[in-house]
Amino acid sequence: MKTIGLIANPNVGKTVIFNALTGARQSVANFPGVTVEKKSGILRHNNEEITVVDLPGIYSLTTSSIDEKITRQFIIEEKPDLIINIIDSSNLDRNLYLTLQLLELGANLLVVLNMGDIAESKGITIDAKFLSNLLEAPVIETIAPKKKGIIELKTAILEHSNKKFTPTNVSWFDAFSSEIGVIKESLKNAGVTSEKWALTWAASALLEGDEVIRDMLEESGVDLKLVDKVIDEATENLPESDAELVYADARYKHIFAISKKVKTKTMDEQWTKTDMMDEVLTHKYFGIPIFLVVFWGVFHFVFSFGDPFIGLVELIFSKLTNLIIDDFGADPDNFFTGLLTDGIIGGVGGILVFLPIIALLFLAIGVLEDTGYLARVAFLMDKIMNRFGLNGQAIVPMLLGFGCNIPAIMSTRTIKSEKERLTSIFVNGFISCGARLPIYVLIAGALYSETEAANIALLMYLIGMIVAITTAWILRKTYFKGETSPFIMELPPYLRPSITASLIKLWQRCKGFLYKAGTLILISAIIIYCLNFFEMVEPIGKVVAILFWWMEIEWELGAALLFGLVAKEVVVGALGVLLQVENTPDNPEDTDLRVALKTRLQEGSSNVDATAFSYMVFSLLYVPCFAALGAVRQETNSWKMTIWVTVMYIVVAYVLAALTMAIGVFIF
Amino acid sequence: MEMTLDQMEVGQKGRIVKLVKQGATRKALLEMGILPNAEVTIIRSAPLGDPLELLIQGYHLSIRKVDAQMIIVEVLDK
Ligand SMILES: Nc1nc2c(ncn2[C@@H]2O[C@H](COP(=O)(O)OP(=O)(O)OP(=O)(O)O)[C@@H](O)[C@H]2O)c(=O)[nH]1
Ligand SMILES: [Mg+2]
Repeated sequence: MKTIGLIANPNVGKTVIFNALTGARQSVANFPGVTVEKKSGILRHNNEEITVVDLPGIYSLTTSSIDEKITRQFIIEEKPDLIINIIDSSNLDRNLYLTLQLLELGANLLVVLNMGDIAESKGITIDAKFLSNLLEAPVIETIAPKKKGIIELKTAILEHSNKKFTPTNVSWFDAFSSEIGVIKESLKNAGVTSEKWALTWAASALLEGDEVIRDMLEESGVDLKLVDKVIDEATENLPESDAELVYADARYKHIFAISKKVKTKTMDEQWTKTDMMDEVLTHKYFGIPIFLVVFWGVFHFVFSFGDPFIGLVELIFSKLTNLIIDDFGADPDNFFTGLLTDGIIGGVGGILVFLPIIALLFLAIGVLEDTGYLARVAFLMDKIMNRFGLNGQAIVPMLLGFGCNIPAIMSTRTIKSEKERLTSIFVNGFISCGARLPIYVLIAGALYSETEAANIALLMYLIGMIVAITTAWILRKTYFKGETSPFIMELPPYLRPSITASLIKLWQRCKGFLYKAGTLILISAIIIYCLNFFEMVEPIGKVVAILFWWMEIEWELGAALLFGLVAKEVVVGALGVLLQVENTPDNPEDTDLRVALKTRLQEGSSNVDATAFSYMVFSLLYVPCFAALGAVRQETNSWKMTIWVTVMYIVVAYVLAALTMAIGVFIF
Repeated sequence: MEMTLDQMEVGQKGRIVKLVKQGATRKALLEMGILPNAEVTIIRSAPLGDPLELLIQGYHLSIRKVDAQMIIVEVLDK
């Protein structure tokens, strides 16, 4: 099957187009660096099938971060039959830089002018036909979210992926033609064959001082000593400037020549909506306070809208329990009725009741992603983050972590400095994800009023942030000392989030949660119920409670922490199973998990408030879940670091929970 | 009048003369369109003074002051 790749700048709509072509539902958002891995899908059109590959965005073929390297690797090693180069029409010039580089490579190119609507709002029109003539490549116009131009694009893809390619005339690239010729010769002599397409390009990349291509050639066993000598001779008499500058300059000159011919601008530099919003949102005095208010607002939105729904779902499950008890009778010693009511409904239902608030949290994060505000947060926070040894961009994985740590850990691929990236991975586990939210809501909800519980949950999120940033600071002073990366970030225009896109994204994320509830959490609940039925949980829980003697918890709470190592939902699931065992139908009050929990907390502790806070802090900080550790393993590519991280999480959690207890006893 | 980009005031427009200091950052800046003869406007600085937001090649880019120091500009009339 033929393969085509979507190669373009970040944030130009590659993934929207990928989804439209293949029917996939990959995540889309309005900030650069959303897609960080290679994803394939199948395009079916006119009875033909083609593999389409979505890739991370790149500004040029010079790549430094991991996500960018994936794209470059794809271009060079997989040699796609056709490259779809998507251009943000409202930002033609900068986007064309990569286009020219792709033409230099000799790639079979299909250019897509996307974001026609945004260009129009800025008064920009582009003559697509003329552009196609000048680039000697087909050009299709689209407005991807509205599916405009997609059919035409599909047809063009089929047509051009079959075409034999004839290289374009890359006149702008001739600056060093004689030098390139010599370097090419010496490359050939060193054993590099022209089968690896783009020998010319490899030569010029070396001339430009491209480290990645060097490494790739050296890794494949090519001796570059003689080549280096040729390059030194070629660049020797370049006064002040150098190959890098000469090339960038030549490409931009060519770009300006093209854009002068094809682009018309009917409005002058104009005060756009984005400018207006930025005046407020990145305002000198209000910018940071507004960020804090947005953060606070999100959580208040989540709680105030979510809470009534929790009651509703609870009601459904208690009705279900009653139904089962009515049918099978309430025999506490009956294994199967117990498994159904206490095990499955208690465990899985115990966590599912929190779906409404988790869903609202996902929705709020999803909408924020789509507006373009996250890029501004990075802009606002860069200086503060820099103080703590991180880049402003590192705030993005943290905010994404509020939803789920796994995609957040993956998104650190965009961070250019390896040490900053590893630091960001290490501390992301402290960021409170959606799965921890039920723990706070359950425990704080058992002891305090609704508003107090909401504030306590917000406090937990803040504590997570503070611990993460402080740990990052310590790591950057010690284990990951050194190199920093520059902050070079495009600020995309604000976009109004579309309702359908937001709902699709919400559904994708909820589906993930429901799937987990139906598999991992269900299995955990069954195992916990069975172990408990044979009275094996109590001794284990007691051991944990002894390890946490200062926290003064009963064995159920201890056992829940242990089972919660698997995933944070299991903490609540386990409490659901273990605390509901004594339910009876004549005592419906007790079906409320919160009441049972409150009783148990009071039975164990001499200072319930301190115990509750300490328990929540520990739950927040110790090991996000096995899957997140798996992500750490994958992204660090090191078991040693993964173990290191795990130990760090548990130690930090233990110490800070103990500290919380001490402070709590003092305050309450 | 020539100065480094970080010395320009908010709202001022300049033309880039050259980029001093070699290296990966300079290369990245060149590719993003920050190169000699390009016009650049300082849109704003972040609330804590750093980084800067620039208008370059018709789009908005944010860079830190330390990196702006390597960019020599000639200030144009405002
Ligand atoms: N108005 C408008 N918005 C668009 C258009 N195409 C894409 N978008 C929006 O632009 C943003 C970026 O889209 P993505 O598909 O995530 O971009 P990408 O190129 O995959 O970005 P990375 O994965 O970060 O490289 C999203 O908010 C889209 O909804 C368009 O034609 N018009
Ligand atoms: Mg994408």
